[in-house]
Amino acid sequence: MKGAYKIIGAGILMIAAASCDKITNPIIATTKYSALPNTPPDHVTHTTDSTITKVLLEDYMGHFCTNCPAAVSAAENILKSPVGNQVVSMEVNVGFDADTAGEVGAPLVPPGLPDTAYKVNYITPAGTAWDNTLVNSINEGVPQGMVNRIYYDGNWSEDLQYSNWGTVVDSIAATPQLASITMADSCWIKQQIFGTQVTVALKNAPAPNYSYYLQMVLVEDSVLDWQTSGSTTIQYFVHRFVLRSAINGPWGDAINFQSANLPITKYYTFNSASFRYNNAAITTPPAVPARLFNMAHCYVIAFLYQRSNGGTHDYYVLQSQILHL
Amino acid sequence: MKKIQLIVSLLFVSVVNAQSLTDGQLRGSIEIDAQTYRHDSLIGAPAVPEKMGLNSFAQLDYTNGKISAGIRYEAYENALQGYDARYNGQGIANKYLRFADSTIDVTVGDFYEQFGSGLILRSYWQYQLGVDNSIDGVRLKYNICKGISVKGVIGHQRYYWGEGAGIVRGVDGEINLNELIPHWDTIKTKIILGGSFVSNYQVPDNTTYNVPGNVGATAGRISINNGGFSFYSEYAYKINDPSVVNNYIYKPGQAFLLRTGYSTKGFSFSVSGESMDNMSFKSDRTATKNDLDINYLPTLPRDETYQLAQIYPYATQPNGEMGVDAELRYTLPKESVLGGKYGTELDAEVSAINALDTTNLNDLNTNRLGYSVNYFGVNSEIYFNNTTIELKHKFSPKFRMILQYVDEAYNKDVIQQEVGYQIVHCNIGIFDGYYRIASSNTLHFEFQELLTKQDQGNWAFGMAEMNFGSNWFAGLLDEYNYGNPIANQQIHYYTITGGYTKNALRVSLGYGKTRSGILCVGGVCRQIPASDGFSLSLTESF
Repeated sequence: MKGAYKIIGAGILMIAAASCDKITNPIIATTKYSALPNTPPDHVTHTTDSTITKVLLEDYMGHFCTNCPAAVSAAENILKSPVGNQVVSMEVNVGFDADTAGEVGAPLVPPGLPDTAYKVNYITPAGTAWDNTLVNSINEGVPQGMVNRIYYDGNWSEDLQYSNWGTVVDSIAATPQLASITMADSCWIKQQIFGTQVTVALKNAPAPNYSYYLQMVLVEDSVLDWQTSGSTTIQYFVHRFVLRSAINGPWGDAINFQSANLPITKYYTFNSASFRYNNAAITTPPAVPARLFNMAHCYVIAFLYQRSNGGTHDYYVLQSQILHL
Repeated sequence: MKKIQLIVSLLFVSVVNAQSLTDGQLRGSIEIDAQTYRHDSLIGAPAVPEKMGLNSFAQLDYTNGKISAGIRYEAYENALQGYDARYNGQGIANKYLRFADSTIDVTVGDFYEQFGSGLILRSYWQYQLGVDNSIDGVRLKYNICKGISVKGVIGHQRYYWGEGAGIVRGVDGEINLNELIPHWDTIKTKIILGGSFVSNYQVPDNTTYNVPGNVGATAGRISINNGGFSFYSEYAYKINDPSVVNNYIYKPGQAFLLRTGYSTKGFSFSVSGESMDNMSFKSDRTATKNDLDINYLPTLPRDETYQLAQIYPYATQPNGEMGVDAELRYTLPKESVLGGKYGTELDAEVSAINALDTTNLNDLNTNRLGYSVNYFGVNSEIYFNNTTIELKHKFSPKFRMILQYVDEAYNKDVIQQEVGYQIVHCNIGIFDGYYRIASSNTLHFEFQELLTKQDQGNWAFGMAEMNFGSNWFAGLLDEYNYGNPIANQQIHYYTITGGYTKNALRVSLGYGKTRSGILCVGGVCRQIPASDGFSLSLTESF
């Protein structure tokens, strides 16, 4: 019996001693522009319109999705509408319809197409995480979308059919600005890297029990690649603002606002061996293949959203911003 | 996951085959809840593409001597509105194999466990709330000697149809002094001491903060009983646990719970107090709502059962609260002036829960402790105040009634995470009567009214339910928001229902409208969206 006491006592002490990590320095130190070249950048761009409400429109789609071109058109029409300058649009490729040709379980490619058809993988970990948490395309199908990730109902409460996007965008665009985001991008073409400085501020005092997150993503506009549309296939469909990568993980970085209108600045860098640069007019076939990222067409999108431990205000996007590299 | 399911299924079959079925005992239960949905913009019922939802489960438990095994099949096609859509789908949600004798008790598979009152560990299944944080792993209970027992658990928690990111490990020990110490088994005072330790490991993958991979919590408890007197107290401490719920602060969490009371025939009195500070403990630091809770924070107020009293239910605030609750029950004797022929039961309860008395440290860019707490102070911010007085009286063998009055102050902004409502003050009156028309026909009727000048204004509720013979029943109820300040929101939420019961079987079919709100059980809540449609429910057990 004494042996049993010792074994159990030792086990408890072992678990207790090994199972607590006391943290004395909570914040990970970061160095401003530590990864950027010392040479002057090839391009520097600044936002000029940080004083208006900007709405985030996310179009969840896939290149095999027959109805997705209609959603892309709906987003384009919104961008061309009177509130278009208040809209930040993004295509997010998710699920079965975004699988690449030949992948196990992927839709079959119509016969007669070249081997390169539907071979570019646009699925990103961030897009998949957002889909799993907020959209549920596996059950809802695509196209689906979100406008500012606004809450609608109890089940997959943020997703919204594209026929309703315009109305919701119009209503949110008319509301007062909740936060401001200003950005500056510095781009080094040869080194395939860019840096972004982002300054965010809340217009109102931070709400108790709410936390705030800044999400940074890289998108590429005018990506010409295969797309199914109804019963036809289009080789050079113009994809708009395609999500290429999340710069700071799928859920961004926590921002610790202390009060209203008190700006906080964050710095990010991003490099990729997939970066190329060609700023010539768009041609078919494209000068930079879709599998690579044409820096001349790339943008950084920043959006600030809130968390409220569930409820109807969880994940709501307070403000968005977009800036060409 | 599928491999584990297969192995356990095979073990289950093996157990059944190895010993004759007639030697063991098979128990089971089935529940099916279906609802159709009609878009109703007036009440805010959303358009549901699939037009209906269905939640269901079937539980089978087989016991043969020291061996028991069980499985639970669940199907959500699709999940009813208000339940998380990540439940959509079907499959074996729970499976276990257990060996237990007088000394040792081992479970492999999915199990539910609680240490003490659950302050640092409680895994449980609450079908109505859509909560299932079972642990998939191994549990060992060992009775070291008479009066001393220990148990240990390790595993991952259920996360809808998958598993949470963290590995939960825990040990709990309990000493029954009356069993351990010679001759104490004869003394009237019974004392039990307990202690536990729980740790969760999750990969520290945050890019902004140095988050702890291992988060530990410990608790100690004491229980004393002497005749009608009872006393229970528990204290818990949790090391730094930055998470989405607490906005990634590193302040340790603490919880203190005290319950004491006295009861004798016809009289009982109890007082409870609690203090919770930063005690959300989940096996994934990014989880929210009721997902992946390792612990359970008990709530003081009663779970309301009457319709209008459920409009403003209390939800435990894991980030911090302090409260007291006192309840007095007294039965006026039979044949007395006030007690009448059958006696009268009186019940009075007072609950008061406020915010913790905290001071902001303004250190979110350095130590991130967030705030300090004066545990002996009282913050003036009310979360929940409730006074309930209830009277139960039987007038005759045919007629009995319950009268209830509730006075409540409800911080809707905090409890329901809303903005702009602040404290809602309301008064509720309830009349609940039962009249036996014939030996097998009883009419059950309720009248309720909620009065408030805030939020959605006044409500009235009426219900009549009749059983016909011993098997059939039918009912009609109407919840009317007649005081809503918006004229077109003065809506009747009516429901007509009927059904059949026999032994453990209950089938009911209803049609009506349901208002949106929250449903709480024991301080744990979920959203209920408005709905309009038919509902079907079936429960059976054997």
